[in-house]
Amino acid sequence: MQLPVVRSVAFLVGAFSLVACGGGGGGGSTESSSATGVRVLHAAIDAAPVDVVVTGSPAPVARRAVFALDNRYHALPSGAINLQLTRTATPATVIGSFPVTADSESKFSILLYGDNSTFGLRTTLLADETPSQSSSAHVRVVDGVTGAAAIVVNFSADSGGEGVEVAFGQAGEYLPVAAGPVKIRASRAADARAIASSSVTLEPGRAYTYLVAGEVDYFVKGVLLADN
Amino acid sequence: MKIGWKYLSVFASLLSGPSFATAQESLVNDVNGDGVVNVTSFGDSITYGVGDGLAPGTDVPAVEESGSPRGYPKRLRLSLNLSVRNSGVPGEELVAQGVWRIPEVVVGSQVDTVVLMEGSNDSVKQTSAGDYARAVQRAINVVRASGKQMVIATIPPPTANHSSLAPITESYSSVVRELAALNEVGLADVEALWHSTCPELEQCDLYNLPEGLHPNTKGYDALAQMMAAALLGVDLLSPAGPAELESALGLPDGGVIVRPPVPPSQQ
Repeated sequence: MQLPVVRSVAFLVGAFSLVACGGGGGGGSTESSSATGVRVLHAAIDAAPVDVVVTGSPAPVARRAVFALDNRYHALPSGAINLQLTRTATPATVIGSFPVTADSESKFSILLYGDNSTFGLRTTLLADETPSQSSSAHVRVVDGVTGAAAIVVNFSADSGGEGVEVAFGQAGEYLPVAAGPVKIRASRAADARAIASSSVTLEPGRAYTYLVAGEVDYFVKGVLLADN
Repeated sequence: MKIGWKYLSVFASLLSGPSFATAQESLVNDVNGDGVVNVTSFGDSITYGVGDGLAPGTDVPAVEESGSPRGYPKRLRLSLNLSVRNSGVPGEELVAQGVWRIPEVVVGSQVDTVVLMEGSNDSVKQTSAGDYARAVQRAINVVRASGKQMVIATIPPPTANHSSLAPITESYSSVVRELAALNEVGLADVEALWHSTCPELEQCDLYNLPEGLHPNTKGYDALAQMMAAALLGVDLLSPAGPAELESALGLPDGGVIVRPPVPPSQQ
C-alpha cells in the first residue's frame, strides 16, 4: 500500500468504549460470552475480522472479532489445548498459534497488532491474571498501535500523573488507579505526541485493560475493556 | 420520490436510539442519537456526480469534471428525505488518497452511515486487488471503530472507451463482496445490478457513451436506486427486489430502473 507523503492531522478518538464482560460491544462475535476463557484484542488497522479456533474443534470458540471493538471472553475446554487465531471464514489462514493449559478460571487475551503492509500481522498471547479485589481499580495498558516504538499512558484526575510506558506489542502490569472519574491520555514515548485520550469512570475492585489500537498519524483508538 | 409507508418503520429508530445493523437490515438509523439520520457518500467522480445531466443517447467521448456536487447523493437526499453529504472527489484513488481521507470525514462527525464506492481511478493505475483490499478493510475498520454504520459498493463496470479497465474493476468488486460478508457491513452490488440491467454493456443507456465510465442522468437515477435499496435493506438482486423498492420509495410500477438478474430457468 502506498503511504502518504505527509499527514498533517492525527486523528485522536477521544470517545472510548467500555463494555463489561458479557456486554455487547457491537459488531462482534455471535457466541455467548463468558467470564473466563479467551478474547481477542484486535488492534491491527488493516486486518480483517478474526476467529479463535481450538485445534481439533469443529467450530471457532470466538468468531468475527473486529478492530478495536470486540472484547468478550469465550469459554474454553479444560486441559492442554492449542489456540489458533485465524482470518474469519478462512480457517487455513492461521495468524497465530498458542499452546495453553486452560481450566475454568483461565483468562487469555490474544493481541492482534501490526499491519498487512509494513510490519506484518503479529500476535501475542496475554494471560489475564487480574489482581485480587481491592478498594481501588486496576488498569493495564496494551500497546497495539503502529508508528510508535513505545507509548506512555497517564491515568489521573487531571491527566498530569506519572505515566506508564509500554512497548509496541506488549502489555504492562495491572496497576492500581483510584476509582472514580479518570482521564486517560496516551502519547508516543519518543516525542510525547498525543495519540489518544478518554474520560472514563473506574469502579472499585474492577480490573481493566486499556487497549491502544491503530496507527499513529492515521487513526488511533483507545478502548477501555473490563477484565472482571 | 417519496418513501413508502412500509418503510417508515425504519425511522422509528430515531426514537429508539443507537443500533448496529448487518447486511440486509436497514442502515437508515440515527446511530449517534442526535435526532437526524446523516449519510455520507464517499468516493470519486462517480460519487461526486461527474457526467450527470447528460441524456442517454448523447454522444459523449469524454466527460468534463465541472459543476457542483450532484449524482446519486443528491437523489438519495430527495428520495429518502435524509441528510446526505456528497464526499466525492473527482480523480481520487482509494489506495493512494481516499483511504487517508476517510478519518478526516468520519472522526468526530455527525455521520451515522458511510457509503463507500471508490476504485475506478485505482484501476487506471492498475493497483493490485491486494492493495485495494487492504485499503477497503482500513476504511471499514476506521468507520466502525468510530461507531458508524457502513455500506460498501462494488464498482460500475467500465465499458466502451474504458472497457480495458473492466478486468481490474471486476477484481475490486470481488474484494468488496468478500469484505462486506466478512465484516457484516451493507453491500450495494452496483456491478452485478449494472450487468443485469444492461446485458449489452457497450450499448448501456446508463452510461455516457462512448466514454463508458461515468453514468448519465439515467445512470445516476439507477445508482441512487441501488444505494437506496442497500440503505433500506432491500435485496435488489432478488426477483421481488424492484417491486419492494418501488413500494418503499412510493414509485409507480416500473419506476425502478434496475433489473435483477434473470434466473437461469427463464433464460
